[in-house]
Amino acid sequence: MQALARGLEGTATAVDADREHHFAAFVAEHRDRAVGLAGRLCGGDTAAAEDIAQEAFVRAYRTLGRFRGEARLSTWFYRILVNEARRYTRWRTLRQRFAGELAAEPEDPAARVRPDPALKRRVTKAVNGLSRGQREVFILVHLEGFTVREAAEITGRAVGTVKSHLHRALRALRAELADLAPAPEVETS
Amino acid sequence: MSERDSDRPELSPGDETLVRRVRELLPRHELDAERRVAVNEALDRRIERRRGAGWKLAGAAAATVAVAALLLLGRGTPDPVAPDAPVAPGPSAPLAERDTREVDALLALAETELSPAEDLPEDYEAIASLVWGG
Repeated sequence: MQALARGLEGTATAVDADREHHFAAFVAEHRDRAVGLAGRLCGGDTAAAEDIAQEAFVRAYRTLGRFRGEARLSTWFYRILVNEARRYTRWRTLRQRFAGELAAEPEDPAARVRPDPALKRRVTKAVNGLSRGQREVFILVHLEGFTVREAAEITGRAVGTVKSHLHRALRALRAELADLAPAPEVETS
Repeated sequence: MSERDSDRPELSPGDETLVRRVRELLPRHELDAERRVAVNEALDRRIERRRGAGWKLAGAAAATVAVAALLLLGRGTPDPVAPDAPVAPGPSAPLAERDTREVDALLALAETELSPAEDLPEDYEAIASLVWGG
């Protein structure tokens, strides 16, 4: 944020200085969550996650002045980020189709717990096998902790549609990953 | 429907376990202190660069346009183009002329300035329909 701080000391007007200050604070508050969400939306590609998050912040920076109130800005920001993740996913699909499969993503060196690679691949494949709508809302609500209403605003869908996607996503994952959540034993008297 | 009904879906114990396991097996990419600094600095540079270029199309969107343009230039027999493709010459046009016009359309798309509007343009959809005809 040094460039932004230099802007405060340069020719920026009072309004611009205020905007820079708010943007820096906004980035500090949302950076980690944005990168984390982007990483899950693009299938664990950590480099892409940071790129997607930065692109979303740039877009938010451009239109920071038109918003009133931080709550609406954060929802809109995550909507931008989800759109950026969609762009990246389509780009990757194009590239894979014409240039061959991409190399497997390296393990995140910062990961504190390294899950079984085979199991992780299986779960990743199951989640990536969901439809785009199902995958997005599943990640937003069940992995990232957004409410259903927030997920609806972020993805531009109705609350009912989000609930439907969540229901179908869980049904699909249950079918693929039933062994991860074995059915409880029924007590017999 | 109450506000609370829309907040969080209620899950069965089995689904709670499944979701928890998925969350564990797909951990979030966490930034350490060093990585946070790197991300901040990269963001600074990106904003300065974009501001200097007049906020033109960049990043993954431009890369996709470039990839698609190269693919069109390199391909042999053209794929059929859907009737409702955004910009495409008629099927009777000579192959070279058709390829040139398709590439021009892609390059024009690349030069379009990013719109700050809330509904972002679906550049990738247009490109995909050009390349695959649907």
